[in-house]
Amino acid sequence: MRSEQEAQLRRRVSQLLEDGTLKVVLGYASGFKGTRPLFVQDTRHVDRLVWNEACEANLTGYLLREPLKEMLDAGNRIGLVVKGCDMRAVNVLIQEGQVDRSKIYLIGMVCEGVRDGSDFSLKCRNCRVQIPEGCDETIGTHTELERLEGNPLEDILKVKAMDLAERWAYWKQELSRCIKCYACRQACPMCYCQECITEKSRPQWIEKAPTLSGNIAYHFIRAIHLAGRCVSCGECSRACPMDIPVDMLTRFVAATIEEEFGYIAGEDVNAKPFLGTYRQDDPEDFIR
Amino acid sequence: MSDRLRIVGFLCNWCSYAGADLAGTTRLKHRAEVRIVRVPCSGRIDPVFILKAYERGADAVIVGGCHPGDCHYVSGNLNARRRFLVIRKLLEFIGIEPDRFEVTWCSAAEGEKWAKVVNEVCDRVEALGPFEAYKAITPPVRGPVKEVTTGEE
Amino acid sequence: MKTIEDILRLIEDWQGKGYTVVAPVRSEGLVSFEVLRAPSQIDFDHVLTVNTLKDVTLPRCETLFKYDVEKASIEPSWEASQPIVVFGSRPCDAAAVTILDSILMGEVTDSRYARRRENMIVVTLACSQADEACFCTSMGYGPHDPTGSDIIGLPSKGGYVFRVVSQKGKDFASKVGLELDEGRADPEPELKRRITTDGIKAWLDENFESPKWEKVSENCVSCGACYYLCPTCHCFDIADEAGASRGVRMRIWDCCSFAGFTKMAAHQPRVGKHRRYRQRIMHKFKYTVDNIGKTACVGDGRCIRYCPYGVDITEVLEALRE
Repeated sequence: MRSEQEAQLRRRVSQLLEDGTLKVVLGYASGFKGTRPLFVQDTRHVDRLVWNEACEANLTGYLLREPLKEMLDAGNRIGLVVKGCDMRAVNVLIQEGQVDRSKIYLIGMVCEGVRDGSDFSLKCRNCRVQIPEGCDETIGTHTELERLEGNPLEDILKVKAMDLAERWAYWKQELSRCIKCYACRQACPMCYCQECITEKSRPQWIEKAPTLSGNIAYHFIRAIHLAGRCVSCGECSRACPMDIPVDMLTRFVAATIEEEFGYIAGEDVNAKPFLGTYRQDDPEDFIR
Repeated sequence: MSDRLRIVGFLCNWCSYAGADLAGTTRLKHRAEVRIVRVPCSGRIDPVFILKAYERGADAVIVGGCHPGDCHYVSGNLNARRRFLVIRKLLEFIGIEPDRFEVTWCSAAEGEKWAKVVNEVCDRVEALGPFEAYKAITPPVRGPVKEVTTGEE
Repeated sequence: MKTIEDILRLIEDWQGKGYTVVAPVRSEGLVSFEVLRAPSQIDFDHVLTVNTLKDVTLPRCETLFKYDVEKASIEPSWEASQPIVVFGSRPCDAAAVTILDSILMGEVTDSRYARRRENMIVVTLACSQADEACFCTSMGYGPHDPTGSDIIGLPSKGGYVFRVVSQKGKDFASKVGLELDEGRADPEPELKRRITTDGIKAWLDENFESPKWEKVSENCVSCGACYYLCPTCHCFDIADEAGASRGVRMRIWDCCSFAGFTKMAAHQPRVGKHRRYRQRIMHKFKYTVDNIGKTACVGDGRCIRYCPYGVDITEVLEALRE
């Protein structure tokens, strides 16, 4: 199915650019790690667009970064190739007032799963959004889809099975590798603050240096800032050159919020942001 | 007082701080390990405050706010309640005892409750011991800046 | 020729003689330079470590001094000076050391860097394999190039033949009683990635402003992975980690792709990521050439390997010159 989807994607992007509907389309091209983002503005370049198992990245973050941000601000309409899971990120950005839905054109790809190396990505396990919803158009047939088995929280459960001292030792070891290149933050579609708290120096809340305490503070606070916003796309870990499973922290928070509050980020574009609201009967058994 | 423990309390101006004040003016005796920082509302408590307190040598943090429905700003405490739950869970996930982060609703009339909570929290933290795990990763030069002593101590 | 077993015995001997040995160690999927606890930790099979020798010569963060405002005291912080043998660096990483030497021990000497360099001996293990990102030959180096090494071990029939490259290497060899080898090295591996640098400097000289900068930096998300893992990038920032009255002043890596790079009181001289990406390319292929006569790129390919969004420096150079 993928090669047909790819051919149709190229055809459609070509049409949308030609008839002036869109100024640019962001999709995937072949690259060193399988695929990489591709900005298509010229119909002559549509053949570089690909759709395959290596299209793991969530490209949504680009909407709020140069050059797409400037194009959107200038009133252009922009096309984005999305998978069902990426749609959740788009929804959060709309929900938080960062993106004007009418200014983006979403080309949804029916997805048979993407791979991280030879295995299916963790995020694909038990995927409920193989057929994207809420797109302007969807490419691919809804039949012959195979549900991918497994638990997307497998890695988190492993850490949960440890006792406290083991967990602390585990995270100390993982986070001591962090060099604070901020690839996780820059890759994250939800980390769009103009100035990150790590950059504030008066007062300096988070150590600038990649010391262990500074690294723990950074990743802890990042996970809290993504509470109710993380869509578990795994982009932060994918970007990390040091192989730190930073997404486990944010996905753990997301899983906790789902369990305790029944809230899933990006599922409902009209929902109020999780931390911006409350219910009278929110759990409080931990409060004295 | 135990000279080992150091607990930082972030108390909202309108209820908990007044409650702690009441405990004092009614001459209630409670343990003295908690150092209080007054904040406008429990909703003001940023998670970085908590980590910073640990970094600077706190063995635990206790947060106090108004009871649900009593918030001076209507819902600051209810918004914060969600955040506190997430913080506690995440602390536990990275291997920090959740008892090192306590939350209490304490009104301005609950001086006795405040005294009781302080005693309980101190006992629990004493059982856990000083927060050696965090102290071990924080270079001493960035530790507690200066002992502030009151006339009584 | 020395077998792997011979080498492990040698390292044990050096450790016994008081040398701290830094070598590539594998931990799960990641191979990185680490202070060796036991010789058996060394990984011989990787192409290239994730981190570079900067972790030895110009660490990601270091304390410059401690201060106390109330006591009006400043206490400089120097780590104990100890002889370090870097074992198993690749020729590209060794070559990068010479570039940093020219910059940090050139006109102005960075005393901290210089001290570490003085105490550092580089024993390279030349490459028997290359991956798709390697392009050292395009930058004038090669899989068996001795530039920057004090001693080099060339792959030979499953083991290595060791040759002395520098006076420092010679002194070290005689001090520890390292016997050098006769014998032929295996042929160098072929590199798939190849570009020519002709004309790049000339183009950069003329094109500080060019619409191409925006095009080539399109995919960049302004993280610091390429910088932090680059063996020659050396910009740093100074920051205080302070309490109310005392604290430490630290030197920390900084990166030209960050939005806050060289941001002063009220002004950011490089607004827009393409201008910051331009700084990276200009610094490597023009400014450093102007200053020390060589490019600040050794073709190790880490920026290509670790860029999360596929920014490819060889492709960028070709696109610029086109």
